Amino acid sequence: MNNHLALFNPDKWVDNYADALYAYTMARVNDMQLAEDIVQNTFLSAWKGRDTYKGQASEKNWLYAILKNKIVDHFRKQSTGSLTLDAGKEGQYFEDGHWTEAAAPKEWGQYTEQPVEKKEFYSVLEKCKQKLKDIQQAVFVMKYMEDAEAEDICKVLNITSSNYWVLIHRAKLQLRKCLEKNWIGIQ
Amino acid sequence: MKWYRAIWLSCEQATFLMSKKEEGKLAFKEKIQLRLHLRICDFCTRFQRQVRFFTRHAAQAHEHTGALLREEKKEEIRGMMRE
Repeated sequence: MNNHLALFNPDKWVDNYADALYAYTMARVNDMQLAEDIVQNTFLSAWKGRDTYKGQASEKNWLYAILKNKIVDHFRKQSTGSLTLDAGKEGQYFEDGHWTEAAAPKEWGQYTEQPVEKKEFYSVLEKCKQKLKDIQQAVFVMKYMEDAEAEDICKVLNITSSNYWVLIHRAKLQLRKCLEKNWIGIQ
Repeated sequence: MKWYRAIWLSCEQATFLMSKKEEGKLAFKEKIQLRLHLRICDFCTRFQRQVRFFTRHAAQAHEHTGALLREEKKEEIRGMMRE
């Protein structure tokens, strides 16, 4: 039973998957209008390409594959390619290579071991992620939410690997600090 | 203690190398340097643990937001798929 053709039912796509695809997209692009466009384009592409569906993947996975491509396309278009990173942004976290007192990671206690108060954690994470620059969000989403390799991320965003390391480093520093302040509640 | 100076990382360098490590891009020397740094530095150990925590959870974010597509939009898409 590795053929899913019998269960292929485009008439039910919107009912069955629209909300899930939309939530998935929103978590990755943080913009309602954009997320709606991406979901709409996904359904339309799938609809136009429905004859090419061979049933190797489940209908759901097939739709997600199309969606994920659209999300990456969005990041590709958004990236201008001419990236200039201001030097010394890490200066707010480090002084002569050492953590500054304000930026040094504080103990988060049991939060990281116990099952998370999920809704709260995710809504703070979302807000913190929105504060990142677009290009940092793109890097973070592709790496940690789409599980892409650094090499592929560099190609999509048209950035060098040394830019990538700087962007991902800064994104982590900023997100960690933001979560500590707004989720854990340490000022 | 000259050898020690030659391999001791700053916290800035150590946190930077953590990302490279995820990609399997650490040189042998860097691996040793990072391990040594983490054995001694509480702040960077915390940093690593906390970053791991939120990066591991990030991919499931959409399961907890309860975001729904607007009904009007759904109807619009259904309409386009009928044409």
